[in-house]
Amino acid sequence: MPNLPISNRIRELRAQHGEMTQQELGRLVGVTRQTVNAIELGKYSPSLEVAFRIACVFKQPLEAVFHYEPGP
Amino acid sequence: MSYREKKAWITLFCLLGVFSVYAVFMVRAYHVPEPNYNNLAHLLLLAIIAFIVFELALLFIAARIAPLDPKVPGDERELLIELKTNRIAYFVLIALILIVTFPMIHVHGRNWGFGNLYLGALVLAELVRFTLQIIYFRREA
Repeated sequence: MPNLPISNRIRELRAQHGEMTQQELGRLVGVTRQTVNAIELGKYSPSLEVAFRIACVFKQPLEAVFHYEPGP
Repeated sequence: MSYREKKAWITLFCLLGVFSVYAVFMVRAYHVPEPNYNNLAHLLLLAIIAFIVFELALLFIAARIAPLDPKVPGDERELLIELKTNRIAYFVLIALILIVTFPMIHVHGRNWGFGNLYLGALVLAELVRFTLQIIYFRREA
């Protein structure tokens, strides 16, 4: 599995929002629980639209949820 | 496991189950000096029907076990996976058709018509692919 240059704080933000489950976040965003899990673990980079939807759920700006870490 | 993944597993299971049995019958028929071609055609029809019936039955059982799963719409990651796998499968199809076509034309000369049908299917599939590509490119330009 390649290391994607995008990391995120979804796990931490879910915990801050009353231990929101991946299922619940997936329902609010419109993706499956498996996709939330893949994004959270950095195995899948979401589209810009899904990234914005996730940020909206947590009422955070996009850059507070996702970080781009370019390689060397 | 998402519903689409379950569906993929069910299809894989049914394909392997039904067509491995079909392959055993075909290998046996190959060793018979004068096989009954009508029976072989019926066997193919039976295999296709069995595949559809098993697939539908297992999908029905999966839907009964988790009734909400089929109602969840597919998302972008699942679509991307489908697109990637379709692309790979398509290249596999091309390779297999080419592998099958040449022996049919050159080794078993009497089957040249079937060989050309395979080839025609390949050419038609390519025509559809590139025509659709042009339509999509024009629409999204």
